[in-house]
Amino acid sequence: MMTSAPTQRSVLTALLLLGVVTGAAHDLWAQSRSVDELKDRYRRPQTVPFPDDNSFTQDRAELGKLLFFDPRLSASSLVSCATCHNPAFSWGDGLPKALGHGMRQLNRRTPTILNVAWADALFWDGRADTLEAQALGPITSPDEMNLSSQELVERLKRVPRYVTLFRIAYPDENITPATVAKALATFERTVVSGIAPFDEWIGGSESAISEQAQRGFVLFNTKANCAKCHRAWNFTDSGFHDVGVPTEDLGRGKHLPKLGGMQHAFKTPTLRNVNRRAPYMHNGSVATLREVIDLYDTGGVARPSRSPDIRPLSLTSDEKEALIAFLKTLTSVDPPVCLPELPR
Amino acid sequence: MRSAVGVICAALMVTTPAAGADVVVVQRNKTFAPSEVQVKVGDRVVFANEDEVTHNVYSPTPGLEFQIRSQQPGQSDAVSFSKPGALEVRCAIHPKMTMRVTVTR
Repeated sequence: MMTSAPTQRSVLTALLLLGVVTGAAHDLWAQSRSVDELKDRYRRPQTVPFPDDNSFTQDRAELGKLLFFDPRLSASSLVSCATCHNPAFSWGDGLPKALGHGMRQLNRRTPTILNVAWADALFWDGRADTLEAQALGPITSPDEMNLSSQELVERLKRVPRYVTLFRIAYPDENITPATVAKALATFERTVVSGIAPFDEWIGGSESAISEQAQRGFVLFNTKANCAKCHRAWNFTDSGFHDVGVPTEDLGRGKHLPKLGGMQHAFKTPTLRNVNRRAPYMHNGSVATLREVIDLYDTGGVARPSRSPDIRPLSLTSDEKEALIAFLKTLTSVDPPVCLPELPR
Repeated sequence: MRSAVGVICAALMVTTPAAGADVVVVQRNKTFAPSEVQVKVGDRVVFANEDEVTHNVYSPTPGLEFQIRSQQPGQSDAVSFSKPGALEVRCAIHPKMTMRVTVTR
């Protein structure tokens, strides 16, 4: 049975201030704040951000959705964006590593597109600054969808309905690689994780998540040090860190070879709907949330590039279970995604 | 302030005890403030991490590169400039953090 709200809050605050669950090596900022102050950091934004040069219109979003689900955007006409970013798998594919053109296995796991409207940089290694810059990457990559931008435009221009829809959505711009990217980006920005039990708890419903999950929230922000990178409502700092995952992949270091701290560094993923998005890490090498926490508990591979925020944590089994209970509260029950009828 | 030894600089960017003036640039809420500064050759820019997260300041500008490795909250590092030019300064961890340093004679 749940205790009363004030009692729960006071217990959690006491845990924070006395360090009962947090141990000695936790964040000073979290140590000095109450649970209510911590919760304030996790409130959802009221609006979705769109860039000035590609502002939201319903026509653009609907066009982008058609393109997203259209397999004609691949050389084989068999693979759409949604093949890997599958809404049935929380906009991932559930595989350790993505499958590309000709079912060839790629080097990294498919990242979810949930909440990419708030992303500062795209791809696991951050090589694209905007969604518009990212959108054509997988389409034109020989390893992924393998369709040239010229063939992409020609195919779309052969479909009268697309010609009409582009004219409506981007009246002065015609069908070009840029407008395809803009429409895809507009749709992707509308893919936002729904209200989860955690959000209800943040909003004041004390019984929305269990006491165990609430202890997990405190641990997340203190002893376990997760919030150092998995920050705010989307549980990411949009940053790049080497978190000690065993890998030969240089990640962001491939693009910034002179920066020691960027070797083996990958983007901090959102934790929204995380328990529906196994396996984990950039290479899908960790099968379960428990194993992810076990990896962080050890500190992973100690190498010069490893983030100074990663260190052995000495978590107890109960603490690990509390963290998992908390992470599960980040999953929303969203309405089904309706597949669009594609123009012929 | 972290010692000069803690700062890794390219050949033309040597961290030294203060020879000229210091200009302070703070990092707060994943933003540099101010977003643009002008200094003279020999001056230092002190990058102060007043954020709650680790930063990694560097400049990719050809011929004027420098980097400060992981900079913890509360830590400050100084970079001095020995030749003129316009530098783009970024955080390697947070790509949207950018600013400009203009060095004049």
